Formats: sequence, C-alpha cells, structure tokens
Amino acid sequence: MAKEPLPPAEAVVRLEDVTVAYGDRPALWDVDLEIPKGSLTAVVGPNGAGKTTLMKTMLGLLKPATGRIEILGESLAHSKGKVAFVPQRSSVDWDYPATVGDLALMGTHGSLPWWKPVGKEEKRRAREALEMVDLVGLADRPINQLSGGQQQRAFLARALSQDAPLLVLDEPFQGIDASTERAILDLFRNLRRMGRSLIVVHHDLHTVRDLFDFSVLLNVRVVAAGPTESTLNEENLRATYGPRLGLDPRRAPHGPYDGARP
Amino acid sequence: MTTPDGAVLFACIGAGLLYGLLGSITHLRRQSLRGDVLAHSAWPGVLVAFAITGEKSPVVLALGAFVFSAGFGLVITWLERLFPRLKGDGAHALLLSGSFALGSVVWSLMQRHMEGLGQAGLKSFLLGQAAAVQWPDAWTLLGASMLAGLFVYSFRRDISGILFDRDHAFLLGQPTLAVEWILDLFLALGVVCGLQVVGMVVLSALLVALPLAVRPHTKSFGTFVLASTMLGGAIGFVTPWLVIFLESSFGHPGKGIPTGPIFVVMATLVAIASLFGPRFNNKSVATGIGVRR
Repeated sequence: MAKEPLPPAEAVVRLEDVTVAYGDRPALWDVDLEIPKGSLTAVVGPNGAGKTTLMKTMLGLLKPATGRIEILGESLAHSKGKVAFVPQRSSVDWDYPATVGDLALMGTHGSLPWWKPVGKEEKRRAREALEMVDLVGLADRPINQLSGGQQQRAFLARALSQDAPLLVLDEPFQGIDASTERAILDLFRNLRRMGRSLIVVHHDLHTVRDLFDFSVLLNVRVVAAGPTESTLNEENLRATYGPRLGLDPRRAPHGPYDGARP
Repeated sequence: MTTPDGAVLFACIGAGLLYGLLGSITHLRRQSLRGDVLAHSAWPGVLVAFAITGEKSPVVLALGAFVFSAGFGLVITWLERLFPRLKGDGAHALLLSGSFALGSVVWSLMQRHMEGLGQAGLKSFLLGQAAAVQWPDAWTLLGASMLAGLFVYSFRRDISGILFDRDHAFLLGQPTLAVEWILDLFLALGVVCGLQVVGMVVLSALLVALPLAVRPHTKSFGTFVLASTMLGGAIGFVTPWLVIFLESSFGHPGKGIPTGPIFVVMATLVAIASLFGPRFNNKSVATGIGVRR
C-alpha cells in the first residue's frame, strides 16, 4: 500500500483494521485509513469497490465485522450531530410532503429538543444554507417539483444547516448537469476555506485531480490513500481499476471490474 | 328528518380522526398494507380469544385482537429484516391473505364445535356494527385519536425526519427505533379500538383512502397529516346523517343501511375526486424562510 506520510494535521476520520462483509462476501477488507482534518477528500474506485459501504461504516450506519472507527477524535457513539451526511439522491422518496425550506430546516432539528418550536436561530441557519446553494427563491416549493440538480442542492442545504464540522457526501454529482456540478464544486471549495472537512464519493478523476487535495483509492481494500498529487498516479489507478484501464484514466471512471452491488 | 344517535355520530368522528391520522403516517412509511394486515390478523385473534375464554366481553376480545395484530406486525418487521427482498409489499401481501385465511379456518372449526356461535355477534368485527355503538366506544375512539395526535404533534420533527430519511435522522441523533416502535404500537392499538365499531374491512380502507385524498393538495408533513385527520373527522361527521337520509329514502323497515361501508364509499369517492380535481397546494407559505424581510 503506497501511503504518503500525512501532513501534521489531526485526523477527522480514523479507521483501523475495518472489515465489513455482506454474508460471506467481504465488501471492505482490512481498511486502515486516516483522513486529515480540513481536507477535501475524494473516495474513488470502481463499481462494487465498497465506496458506499465505507461511507456508511465510518458513520456508524453499518456495523463492521471487525475494526475500530474514530470520528473527530471520538468514538462513533459520541459523533451524533457532528457529521452531516448527504446520501445518494435516489435513497429517499422525493414524493414526500416537504418543501425545500422544510428540508433545509431538517438539518437544524438535531440540536432542537422536542418541546421547543423552530425559532429564529433555526430559520436563520436554514436560510443561510439555502443562500449557499442558491435555492432561497424556491424555499416554498414542494420537493417533488424539483429537477435533479435542485434536489441535490436541497439535499446539500439540509447538510449545511446542520453546521457540522465534517460533511460526507455519497455521489453528489450523479445525474446532474455540468453547471450545477460546477456550482457545487465551488461550494466545496468555499466550505474547505471555512475550515470544514469534506469526504466525497466521486467518479470523475479529472475534477479529483483539479480540486481534491486528498484521495482514497478503494477496491475492497484501500489501494492507496494520500495527497492527490502523489496518490492519483497511473500505477495506483491500474491497481484500483484493473489492468485494462486506458492510458487516459480520466476517460474511464468505471473500470473493467464489475462486481455486483450488494 | 331524525338526527343520528349521539354515540354513533361521535364514534364515526373519532374513527375518522384516528384512521386519518394513522393512515397519513402509514402512507408516508409506504406501509399502507400494514394497516390492512394488522386489521385482518385481528380477526383470528378475536375468534381465538372467544374460543379460549367463551366470553364475549369487549376487553377479552380486544386483547385477543391486539395480541394477534401486534404479533403479526412483529412478524412483518422480522421477515423484512431477515429477507430484505421482501421489503415493501411482499411480506405484507403474504401475511394479509394468510391471516384472513387463518381466521376463516378458525371460524369454521368453531362453528363445528361451539353452540350458538351465530348469535355471538363476532361477524360484526368484519363490517362493524354501528347500530350497537355505545358511548364508551365513542370515547375510546376519540381518546385514542387525541393520544395519537398528541404524540405525533409533540414529536413531529423527529417523525417527519425519520420517515423521510432514516439514516440522516439517525446521524442527527433522533430516536429512530423508539419512534418507529411507538408508531407501530399506535397502529396496532388504533386497529383494536375501532375493530368492533368500524370493522376490519372498513378500517383498513379508511387507512388507505384518507391520506390518498389529501396528498395532492398538501406540500408539508404537518399540513398533510392534519388534512388527512380533519378529512376523516369531517367524513365521519357526515356519514351518520347520510345513512339516515338513505334509510328514510330507500331503506326497508328493520333492514338498516350499514354505516361502515357508507363511510368507506364516501372516503373513496372523495379520494378519487381529489386525484382528478384541481390542486390547492401552491399558495400557503410553509416555513417563511423564503420570504424576503
């Protein structure tokens, strides 16, 4: 495993010997991983490499067979509310009765006890989140009347209003157009500048190279993890995606390995 | 024109409120069939309770219904967890027909071995018996709807977050398991409360029809749940009057028109009309976030 020495920053996520299996088939095998605080991290790998499984495991949504996980220097039990998660857009029912504003407010609900009504502070946070994704004008629109890109931005607003130091996003660019993708990438850059850490499952190796400062190459095992410049080289990509990856890895985000998803 | 009996009127309103509320929640959980299963499995529960005790007291029968309903509910949850591919309607459909068939088997066995079963009035559990409704029945339904309403209102943010995106709610620290358990419990209790009055066929139809009728016109969790509840109450209020009108116009002396089926026909007509009718959901300001200040 080609692992560069980490910059002298604290780890925002630390995994030790983590193995996850569906039945008797391992989805993640002996994963050791440290992601530095304040980084914009891309998790790349072919279909079936366990990217979503890695996200869900590091958040505590899946229980690993073995291993230890720390988030922001604490055990998972203490991380509630400190991580904002943006799951794949297709994982929820967009016909649910909620407006864009409702969705933005949902991020603030974790810090609000049940007997208290939504107050000015929560509305301010939701509004700021909507401003960041440029959806203020659609705050009262039902979410079943949104385009794919608007849905993704509404999802992001829910995560932003949570004010969490760590954001974890699973394939935020799936099925959205190029201009929305650019807007979201700009947002990521701004968030990083504000000191947030982001971990993003991402397919487009081109933008990974341009934008993400830390990369994790995953194919059930961690093939390589480190600063993007030194990690995203041809040797590591071949080891991740298989030998048939063409000379221009940017054109082949999906490798020949075609493991079925669980 | 005569006025409806007070107990009947209030029982109908209570049933409408209760099943409108519970129906809106099961609708959002994509578990419309779950109410069906719980209601249908209460039928063998009632029969078994009667067979064991030989008593027809409402408490005994309700206990039997509750044990079977809650038991079948747990079996569904357990099957879904064990076989994720059954998720959605698979497990429900299986148990729906299974539980009703079980009830029929028990029924025919009992007919063979017990005297006077026909007079025991157990068939009222199928279509209800509005004519025999007493004030305690009405209070039970109204009380249950108040209790469920209080819970849903108090934990509206947790409930709506969990029903929309369970993983996200869990990471926020919302009590996912507890809320889901309590909602399941309310559904089982709600089914039992209305079983004898409303009947299981009527009850499961209300659970489906009321939320369906209001969904196209509401755009927020709160308005959706409230509208479904209120529509149930409104139809519950109208139904007894309609029954009296129909009886005075078309009824034969001694052969009343059943209240429960009229209730369901009304709810179904409203649901269909609302699916085709105009939408009313683009005006209200739900959160006030988008309003310029």
